[in-house]
Amino acid sequence: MRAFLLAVPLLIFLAATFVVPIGKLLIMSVETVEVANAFPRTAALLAGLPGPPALPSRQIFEALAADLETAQDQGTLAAAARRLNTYEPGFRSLLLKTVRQLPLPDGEPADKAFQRIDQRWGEPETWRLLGRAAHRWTLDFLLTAVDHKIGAGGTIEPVEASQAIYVGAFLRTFAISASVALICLVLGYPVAFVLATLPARQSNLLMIFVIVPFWTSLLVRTTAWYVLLQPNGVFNALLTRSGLTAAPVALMFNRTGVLIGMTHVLLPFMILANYAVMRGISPDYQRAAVSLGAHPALAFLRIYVPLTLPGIGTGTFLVFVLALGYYITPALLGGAGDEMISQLVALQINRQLNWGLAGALSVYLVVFTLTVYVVFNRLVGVDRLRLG
Amino acid sequence: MVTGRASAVQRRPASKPLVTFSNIDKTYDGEAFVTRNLNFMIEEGEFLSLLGPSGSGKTTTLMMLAGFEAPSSGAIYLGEKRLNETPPHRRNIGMVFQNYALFPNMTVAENIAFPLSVRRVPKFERQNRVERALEMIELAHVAERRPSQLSGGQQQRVALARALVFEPRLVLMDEPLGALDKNLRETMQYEIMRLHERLGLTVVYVTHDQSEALTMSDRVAVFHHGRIQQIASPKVLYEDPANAFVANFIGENNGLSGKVTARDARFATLELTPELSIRGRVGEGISIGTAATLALRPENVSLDDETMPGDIRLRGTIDEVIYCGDHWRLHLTAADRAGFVIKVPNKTATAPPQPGRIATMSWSPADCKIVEADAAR
Repeated sequence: MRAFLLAVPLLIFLAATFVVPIGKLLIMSVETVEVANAFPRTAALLAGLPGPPALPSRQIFEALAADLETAQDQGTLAAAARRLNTYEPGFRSLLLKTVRQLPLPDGEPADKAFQRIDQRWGEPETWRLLGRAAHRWTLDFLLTAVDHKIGAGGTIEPVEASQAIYVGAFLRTFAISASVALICLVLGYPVAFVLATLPARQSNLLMIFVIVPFWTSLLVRTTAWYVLLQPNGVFNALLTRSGLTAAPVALMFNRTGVLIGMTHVLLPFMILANYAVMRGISPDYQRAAVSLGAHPALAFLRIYVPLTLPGIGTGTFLVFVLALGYYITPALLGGAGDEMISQLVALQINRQLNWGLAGALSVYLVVFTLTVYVVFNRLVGVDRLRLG
Repeated sequence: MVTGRASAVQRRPASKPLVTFSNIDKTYDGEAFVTRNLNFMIEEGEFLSLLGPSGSGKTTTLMMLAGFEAPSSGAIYLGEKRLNETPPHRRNIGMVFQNYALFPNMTVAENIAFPLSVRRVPKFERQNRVERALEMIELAHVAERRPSQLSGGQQQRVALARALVFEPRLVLMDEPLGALDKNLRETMQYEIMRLHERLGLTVVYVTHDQSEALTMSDRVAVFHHGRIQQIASPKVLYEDPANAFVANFIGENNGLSGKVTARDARFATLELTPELSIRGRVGEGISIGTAATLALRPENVSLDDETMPGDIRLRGTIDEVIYCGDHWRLHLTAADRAGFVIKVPNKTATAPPQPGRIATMSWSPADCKIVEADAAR
């Protein structure tokens, strides 16, 4: 009990900085309050409206007119307009255009006046979207995040090809993470082997070369690659001066740059995970296999490599999962076709102010990461996850 | 104490040497020698133990034979064939490691099949031989288990079966029983001896446990400072040690040192103090004026025994009495020279010796030997 009390400050810290914000973002992916808050009367009436899309009653027009005026006074109109614009580009200007004409002249019925201001108020689709946006809970963000929407008929359908960007981004994120994990494994496994088999003095010295980048700021390392990989950078200077290539090679603002940068940043995880496992493997296994008649290469493949599978699994898992959420490195070193899902989340939050879609994208990322975690736990066991 | 093996006494070097070490030196820096000037042969069917304290070069010797270490100079022969250039996986020498080194990612049966599968033995024959090997160690019922599910003794037997299944000409064992508790270790000693006898194996066995070496071996090579101090049967080693190190390392010894004052063809005299000189059989390399050590086993000394007139007699004071169950251990001072150790059998009829009493020690001159002091490097 006392031990638990000692952990309470940490638990409070974790809850405040980790659980609550993440939970809130995830809730945002299914919650939309802007329109309901701005147009409370309209929302209430639209919610009570049954089934098939048709033009609503005059009463609702009147409620909307009143809501628009209050919303503008209270400053909630902008958020609602921005929110509606994500459903249909142009909705924002429609609202602003309408609100400028308020209050309605006396005697003119609200529905007529609205349709005079803009004919779109006479289309059932406009009201359907307004009705959807006025719901407090929605699946729209989650659908948008996988390039789907609820169409006019109320069924789920894919968005137009020109707007379908998120599934591609998820696949790209997956592909980049998998490539980085594979490259890290190919480069890191032999290094870990050397570190684990060398005498302690030399291995400790070499370990510094692994650890120091590990301790260095991610941003610093990425910026360093930014300098090195430039068209006029060190690498290209070496390549052109040595005559290997005639012109500078594009090493950044493309996939190459992303892979180089992310591999470098994540390589220590792979090396340390494998090193931890390899250091625990007695050299007697290899010797035993050789004394029993196996060629050293065969002994390595049949005995040593299987014994290091936990390290391979742990390293690949760590690198892959960490790569899934990468943001700075692809943002600095990548080009237009290398956006990873985190960049799109950041874009939605920073530029589009669309927290709902950002939340929905995050939901998929979290679910996918958890799936990878569960699979890893089944195959290797998380309890074997250790670094050095 | 000295059990020895019947075969060790009866065996005569009739068979040809299987392994020959010829002038083997091993050094890493050219100055400090891990092993120095090793020259010995191992006969076919022999059980040879390499015995010595840690760092004495016995494990390095074994590793050079297995091929995991290369001699700095000299040659090793297996039969007529020079072995130096043969990589370890072509030597066809079975090896059992201290921690068994069973592959944890394979079952017991797969472990035993491993040397056969790398030799491309056909599957059917492989299965047969694995089954026979499992029967030999009486572990057929655990064939499909992982090594980690076995007890230490079972793992040890599997390691043995794996090292024997490909029928090597020579089996090396590197302190194979070091990780087992005492009772199990003794059971396994007999198990290994039984297999050695039954299969006619040639075994090189590294240990730092002298009683293990004495019990199991036909011959024992005692290592110290990288050199073989003596290589002989357990009986010779115990009763006729070549130098002070062997006398003190094997069994207990009254290792009192002094100066040689007289010698003839069979006997020498060792002066411990000006008042106290002891006569004993003369060892190799003993000459008048040199330092030497007494080799006298505590159990060969009797206390207050008047029956043997030819014995050497020495009066001393009992300093300390230690009860050891089947015997008493006594420390005595004679003629101002402390450090005599004797063992007195514990018979219920006799009263225990009392400290402070004056007593007479006696032993036959044939049981006492004057040997070279601890050999210089």
